[in-house]
Amino acid sequence: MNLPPQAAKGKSVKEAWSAMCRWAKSSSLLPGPGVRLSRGANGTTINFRAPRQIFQGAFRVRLSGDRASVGFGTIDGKEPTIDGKPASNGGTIAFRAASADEEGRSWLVLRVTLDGKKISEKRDAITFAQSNAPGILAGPDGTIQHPLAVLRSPDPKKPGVGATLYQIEFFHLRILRAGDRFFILPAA
Amino acid sequence: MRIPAAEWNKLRAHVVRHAHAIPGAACSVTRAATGTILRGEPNAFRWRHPWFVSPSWDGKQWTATVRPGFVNGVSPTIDGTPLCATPPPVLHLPVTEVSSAPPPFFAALGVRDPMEGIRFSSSQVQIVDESWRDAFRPPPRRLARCDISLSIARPALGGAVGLQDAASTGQSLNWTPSIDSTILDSRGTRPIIQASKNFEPPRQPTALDRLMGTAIDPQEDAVLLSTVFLLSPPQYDGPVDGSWAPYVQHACFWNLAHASRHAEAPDPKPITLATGLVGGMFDGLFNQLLAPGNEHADRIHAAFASQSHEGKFWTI
Repeated sequence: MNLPPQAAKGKSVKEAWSAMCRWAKSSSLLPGPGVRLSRGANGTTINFRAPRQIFQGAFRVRLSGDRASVGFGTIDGKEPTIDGKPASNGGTIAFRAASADEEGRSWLVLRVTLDGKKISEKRDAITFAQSNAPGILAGPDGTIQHPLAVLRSPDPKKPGVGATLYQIEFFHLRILRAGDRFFILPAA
Repeated sequence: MRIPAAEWNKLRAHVVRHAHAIPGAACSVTRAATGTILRGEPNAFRWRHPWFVSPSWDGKQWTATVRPGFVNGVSPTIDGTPLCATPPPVLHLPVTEVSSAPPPFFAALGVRDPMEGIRFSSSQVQIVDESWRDAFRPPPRRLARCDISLSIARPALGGAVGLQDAASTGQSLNWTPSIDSTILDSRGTRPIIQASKNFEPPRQPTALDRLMGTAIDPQEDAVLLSTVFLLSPPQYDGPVDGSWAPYVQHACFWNLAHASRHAEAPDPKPITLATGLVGGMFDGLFNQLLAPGNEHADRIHAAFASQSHEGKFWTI
């Protein structure tokens, strides 16, 4: 983009004025396909008609700074909680790219605390956490983890710079128990 | 009138700062002499599933990029580069022309069945002129294809069988298992994506194969992600090039989980069976042992199943 030239002391401003006019003209907004402009006293409002059906899925993870929020999703019909409140109430959890692994990855996982073979009745038995490992299958050691999203920084030495969030899970979930093993599957 | 340069430059900075349209998400800004054109990008909102394949012609050969997908929360690699890397890794497609009956979709676009007009009977092969059909269908086109698959390395179960003849008790069969995990040393446990001319899922050996010593246990679990078809221009005789049109048939639309049959690798356990038989050919003996109703059959099948490292994929 060519910006209008700066003026120099002692020189005629006429040329810079003409360039400024050309630049101002090229800055006037024109609507492209699907775009509607409304000019008002306070400025110009730009509307774009986007497709309405945008697939979201369950457990949709969104990042805002160092915090993450997770959309509605269930496991065995129960909704995860954050600080004792349903996650879809708008709670957020800490999710910092700074604590990534050697490949610049950091996972947001669903963490389920078990009581024997059932989900525990304790507060925050189903909640979210940041993890340096996806840890999809775990034994009956009290908790199981399932990755919901991964944040990846292109340069592991500069975690968070240009990082991209990838959604991993799109479905409501259920736990399948087979002997001493637990598997997490999409809910039917 | 005199205008101080500093005042002019302050005005200039103000105009540039406030009359400068900056494109945000899913929109583009094109500056022209007559104005700045704003465009929304509907494709930015289009749902693209994991493993979405985008083929392209790089000037020499057909390549493809794969939208990042995950297996057990980990992104697979192409030639050692993770799918999430920037820039994304490129997969070279070893396309080969289809020499069998084309899928109906491509037949409707003009791809001919190479066996068209050839009729087989018990005694002869008859060639029938089917050229009259050409008046009712598009001009002929050629079709090439290539499969893209995902695989995870795993140990393979092998074994050796020994037979001992004792005059008093009859034959006894010993099967001594062995585990081959050399592939894990070279590939590790991270999933990889490969392109091949024709993907075939790894075939698990049967119990008879294992007893006969002819079992080849695949050292990987694999799943087909997609098939890339390339359709030539009409009446085209040249090699596959950028003028061919790509079509992708996806077979996998969601992220995956994978688990081996065992949480931890089991110790190889030999089995010994007193067959009660005397002499006989191996295959006949083994077929008899594995026959339904034979008291040893279930034990043999269970022994093989309990020691195999075969795993399964499922969508999450």
